[in-house]
Amino acid sequence: MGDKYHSDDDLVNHAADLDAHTYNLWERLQIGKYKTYPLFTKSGEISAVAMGANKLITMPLPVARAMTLDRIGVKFQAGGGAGTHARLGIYNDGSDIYPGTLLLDAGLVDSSAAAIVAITISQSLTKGLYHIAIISDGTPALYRAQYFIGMGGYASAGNYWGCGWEVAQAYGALPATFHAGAAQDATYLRRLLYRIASLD
Amino acid sequence: MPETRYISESDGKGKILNRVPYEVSDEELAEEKEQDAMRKAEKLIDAISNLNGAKVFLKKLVRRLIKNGALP
Repeated sequence: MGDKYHSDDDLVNHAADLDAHTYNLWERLQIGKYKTYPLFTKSGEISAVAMGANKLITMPLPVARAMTLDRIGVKFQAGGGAGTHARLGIYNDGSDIYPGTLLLDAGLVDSSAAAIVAITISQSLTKGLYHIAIISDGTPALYRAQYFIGMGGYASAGNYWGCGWEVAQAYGALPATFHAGAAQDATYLRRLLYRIASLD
Repeated sequence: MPETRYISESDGKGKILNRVPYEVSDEELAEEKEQDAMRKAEKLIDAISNLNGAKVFLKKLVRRLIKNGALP
C-alpha cells in the first residue's frame, strides 16, 4: 500500500488547493467597519494615557491578505488642547518588527477634543506587516490596550511583548523613513483605527 | 439610554466630509463613567502624594532654618 499522505496524486491535489492547508483566520475580516489592532481583545483595554507632543508613535498592523483601506483614524479619550492637530499615516515594516519607509502620510485630524476622528484614504496593502503612525502638536489621550499576543520580544521587565514604537519627532509631515532609536512601547499598545474598503 | 455620537471623517486637510453616527451602549457608557471615576481617583491620589511631598519638604526646610538660626 502506498503512503496515503504522500502520494504524487495527493501532492498535486494539495498544490491545487493550498489554502485548505494554510488557512489563516486573520484573512477573514469584515469590511466597512472601523478596526484596531487585530490581535487585541476588548477585555485587554485599559485606561487612556496622554501622548506627548512631538512624539511619533506607531501601532503594528499585521495584514494577512491583500486589502484596500478607506479610512485611518484614532479615538481620542481626551482632547490635546485648543487648536491642536494630529497627523496619521502608515509605515512599511523595516526589519525586526521596526517601522521602515513611509507608505502614506494621510494628513491631519483635529485633536482638540475627545472624539473619533478619521481621514478618508485609498490605500492598497499586500500581505505583510505595516505600522500605523500618529504624531501631534498637542497632548491628546489615546486609549491603550494590552497586547493579546506578542510579535515583539520580551521587554526589560520580562512580562510583555511590545511591538509599538515611540520616538521624538517635531510635529509636521511624517518623515520618509522612521527614525532609528525609538523606544519600544513595551507594556501597552496605543490604539489607532483603520477601515477596510475591500479584500482584494 | 444609549447615546449617539459621531465619527468625523475628513479629507486630511481639515475639511470634514462626513459625520457618521454610532451608538454607544449603556454598557460602554457605564464603563466610561467607571474609567472617569478611576482617573479622578488617580488624580486625587497623586494630589495627596504631592501634598505629602510638600509637607516633607517644608519640614526639612524648617529644620534647616532652625539649625541655621534663622528661626527662633
